[in-house]
Amino acid sequence: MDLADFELSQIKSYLEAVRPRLTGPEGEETLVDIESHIHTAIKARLEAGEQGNLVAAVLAELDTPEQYGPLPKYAHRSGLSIYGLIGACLLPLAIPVIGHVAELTPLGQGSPMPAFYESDVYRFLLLPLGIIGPLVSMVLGWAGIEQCRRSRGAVYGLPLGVIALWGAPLIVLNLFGLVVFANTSPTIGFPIVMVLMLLVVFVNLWVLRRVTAGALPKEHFVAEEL
Amino acid sequence: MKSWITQLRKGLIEFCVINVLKDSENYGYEIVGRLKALEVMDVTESTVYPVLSRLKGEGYLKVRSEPSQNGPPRRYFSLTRLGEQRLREMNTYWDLLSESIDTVRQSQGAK
Repeated sequence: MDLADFELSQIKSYLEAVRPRLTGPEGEETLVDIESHIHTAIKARLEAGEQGNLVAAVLAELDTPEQYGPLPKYAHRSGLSIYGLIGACLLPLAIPVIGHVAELTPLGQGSPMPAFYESDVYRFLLLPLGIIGPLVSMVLGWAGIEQCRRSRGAVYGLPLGVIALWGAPLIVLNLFGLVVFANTSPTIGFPIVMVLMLLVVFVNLWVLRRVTAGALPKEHFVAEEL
Repeated sequence: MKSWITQLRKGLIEFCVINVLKDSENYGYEIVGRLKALEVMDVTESTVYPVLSRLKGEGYLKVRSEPSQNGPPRRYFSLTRLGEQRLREMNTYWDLLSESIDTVRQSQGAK
């Protein structure tokens, strides 16, 4: 039984509308049961020889999201996502490590900085923090995005969560690009390097845009749409 | 009157769910289907699934997941030892309650 994208999206919209109404630690499990219920009901209709948009028919028969209970009152807890905020604040810890990697490329030759990268402060404090910080930032970013999505608008700061989640992978991508360009620029020429750098910047912006769009909370489910 | 019926039904759903599972394991769709057949109970998914999850969280039910060809894994619910004990207690209390209510109703009718 293969469902079309728009049918899967109808199911997803329904589940997204039900999710915030399922309170308690078992909410996610209940959601899995409801999703399974929907698929089983579609299969039953299919086996009974029904045709047409079976997903819409099944969803129309189910309880409305409102019947699962009221939306939790986030009013007392609304505000900026603390996870996203802390996650984004941890990202700058990677700056010394970025500098260190740049230092190791041909671009950094002749710089007076190596002494700093050999110091105990860097090796035992800034370097571990620069590696662990972005990793923790990714986890907090993910938690921040989930917090914003589940609050359905009551908790804001989604961009901070997105930056926290994707900042570290983008830093790694850019560092990789930097190392490659620094090592190849003498051979491929400055204009080409500039074009490639612009391409990397474009990729960064595109990834952030796509991720932000994907992380945005979905529209409230409207039964009439079905 | 309507509110009283709603409250009564709400209290009985857990009792019904546990009784549906007394003989064999069942997955959500089947449980909802069996309870929906009891028209007087007016049961729907929005009442059954949260109760199933809560009973599982409280240790009365256990879950076995089985991959499904369509959709997420199908979760089969069955009673735990604690759940079986709960079933006996609930059924005993129900018998006692209905007997007492019948006594009250009959004594009222005799007057």
